[in-house]
Amino acid sequence: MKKLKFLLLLACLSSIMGMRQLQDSLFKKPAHFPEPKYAFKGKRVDSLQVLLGRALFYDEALSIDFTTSCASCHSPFSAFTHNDHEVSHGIQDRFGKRNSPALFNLAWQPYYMWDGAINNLDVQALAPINHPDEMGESTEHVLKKIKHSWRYRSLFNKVYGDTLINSERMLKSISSFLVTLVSAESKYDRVMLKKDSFNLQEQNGYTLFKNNCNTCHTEPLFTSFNFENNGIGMLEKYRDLGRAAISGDPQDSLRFKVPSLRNLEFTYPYMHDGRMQKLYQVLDHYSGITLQKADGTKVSVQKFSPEEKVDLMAFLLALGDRTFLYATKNQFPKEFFFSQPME
Amino acid sequence: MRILFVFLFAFTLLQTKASDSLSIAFTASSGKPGTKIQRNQWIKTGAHDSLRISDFRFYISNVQLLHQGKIVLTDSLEGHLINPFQAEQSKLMLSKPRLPEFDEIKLGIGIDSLTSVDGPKSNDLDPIHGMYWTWQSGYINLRIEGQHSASTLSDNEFFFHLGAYAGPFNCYQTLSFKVNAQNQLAIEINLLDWFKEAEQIKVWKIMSPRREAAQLSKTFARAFRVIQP
Ligand code: HEC
Ligand code: HEC
Repeated sequence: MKKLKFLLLLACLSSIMGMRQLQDSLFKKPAHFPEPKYAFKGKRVDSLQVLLGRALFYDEALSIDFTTSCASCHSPFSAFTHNDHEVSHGIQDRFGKRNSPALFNLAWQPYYMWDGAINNLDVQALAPINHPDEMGESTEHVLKKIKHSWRYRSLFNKVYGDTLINSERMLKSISSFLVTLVSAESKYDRVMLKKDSFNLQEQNGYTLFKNNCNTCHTEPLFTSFNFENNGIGMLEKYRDLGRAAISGDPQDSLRFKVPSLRNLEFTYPYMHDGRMQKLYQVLDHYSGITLQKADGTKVSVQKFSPEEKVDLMAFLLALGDRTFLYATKNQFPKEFFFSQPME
Repeated sequence: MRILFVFLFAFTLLQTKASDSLSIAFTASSGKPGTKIQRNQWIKTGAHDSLRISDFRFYISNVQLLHQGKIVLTDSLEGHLINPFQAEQSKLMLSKPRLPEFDEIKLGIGIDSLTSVDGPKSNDLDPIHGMYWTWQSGYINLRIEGQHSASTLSDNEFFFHLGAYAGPFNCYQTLSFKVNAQNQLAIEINLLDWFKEAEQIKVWKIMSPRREAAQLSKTFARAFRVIQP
């Protein structure tokens, strides 16, 4: 009896420690980042679950006609956004009205989508799956397709310990992959961790950034996560009111969630409707503008000289993270899709 | 070791023996006691209008039993999907080894904000039941669909998907009522009264959080009547 207890204790301890290590290697909070908002508590984040989520992310079976996966609109090589169109396009080349956001550092976001319509990363995937212009599916039918595949049956079993495949497990698997998309290895990050230094242009750009942009695009995540109006105005063809459509508050009209400025180099076109193709267009827009923030304060962005624009651009480019861009752990999981049955 | 098993077995037996439950049955009613509305049955409302209901479902949550103002039991489930038109789904069951004495019941109509921001759930709260908005996180607290002669939509149809767990249009409602402690309760929901309000609002398709949804949710809570035998 005593021996058994001891063995049990040992098994428990080692599995807890094993779990710890896995969690640490899959999701590491960068030293200079704040605490993540995502509730890890009580959730398993293990390598198999992340693999399952990654498989689902790259699987076209999540769309009604097997043409569109999450990665169709969120490609790893553009920091998980889509470069070809102003607004995203889904099944049968249908266009939405919004530009697909880049996906990284999602664990720090308090809500999702340009207007904050989604309140928890774990339910986010319901939106594209069920959207008629995106994947055009129903959650129930996607589950049916997944249950049909021995690869998924086997992996769900390994991850959750039994054969049940339901929406909660599918959704939590997808988000377990999404939270591991951490981008924190740009030149900026190395400078912050004192492993590198800015050149003169970048340094000047950093000063300009702090004086003019940081109040909304707040370091180190480069967003305050607030809903703000950056003065680009509404495009008649979409009539997108932004946050107001969710909050019901007319004051929120034309306010959108402040996007991160990391990886801009790879994430064109810019803004919620993708109306700007080039970064210099963005800088031209902001130069000399006065904006009213949601908290009532005014921000007067200075007029930038051509040299200052170059400096600011140099700083923005120092926010690009190629390690993140090319990380194979985030890419199409061949090991899942090309696996063979064990029999 | 074996003794332990015997003990456990005996214990489980004892437990099941002492198990006790409270069931609350929900029915759609047209106001007069005992007049149950059936699915797809045409009923007259007022002098000229008539309506029929094809889908009527709602969530009940946060069920608590109280005795002399003190909480004596809190339901462990986060929500129950109730469908008065389907026998198996028209009842809410609270099962406990022993039900405490109680004289009051509190419950929520809909899903509160705490549960609504807590990510995906299974069973009654699974988002596949058509009671969850996918493009904007949040449960549909109350879903009523059918036809009403006053509806201006094609085929006189109406669609009420009422919900919102926060903000100015919050639809979550709470109710409490005194009861004589017993194992069975019946709640009648006077839908004809509720439709009087809908007829005045004249918006026959509500499928997202908005002012009218909040208003109709309040009216819905007022339509609940406990039937004491
Ligand atoms: C047809 C293109 C398309 C597909 C397919 C698609 N998305 Fe998106 N995604 C978008 C668009 C557009 C938005 C922004 C929507 C909005 O703001 O209303 C978005 C937003 C998101 C966000 C929120 C990001 C943020 O910063 O707020 C996440 C997370 C996300 N998608 C993950 C996924 C996952 C997971 C899948 C697959 C289940 C998926 N997407 C499939 C286009 C797509
Ligand atoms: C008042 C707050 C505010 C200030 C100040 C501000 N921005 Fe923005 N920025 C936003 C918002 C909100 C958006 C998204 C707007 C939209 O899509 O409608 C945005 C979008 C952007 C984008 C597009 C990002 C993408 O992924 O599409 C870039 C680039 C950008 N801002 C750079 C800057 C720079 C550089 C500065 C300083 C010169 C600056 N911003 C100052 C609020 C602000």
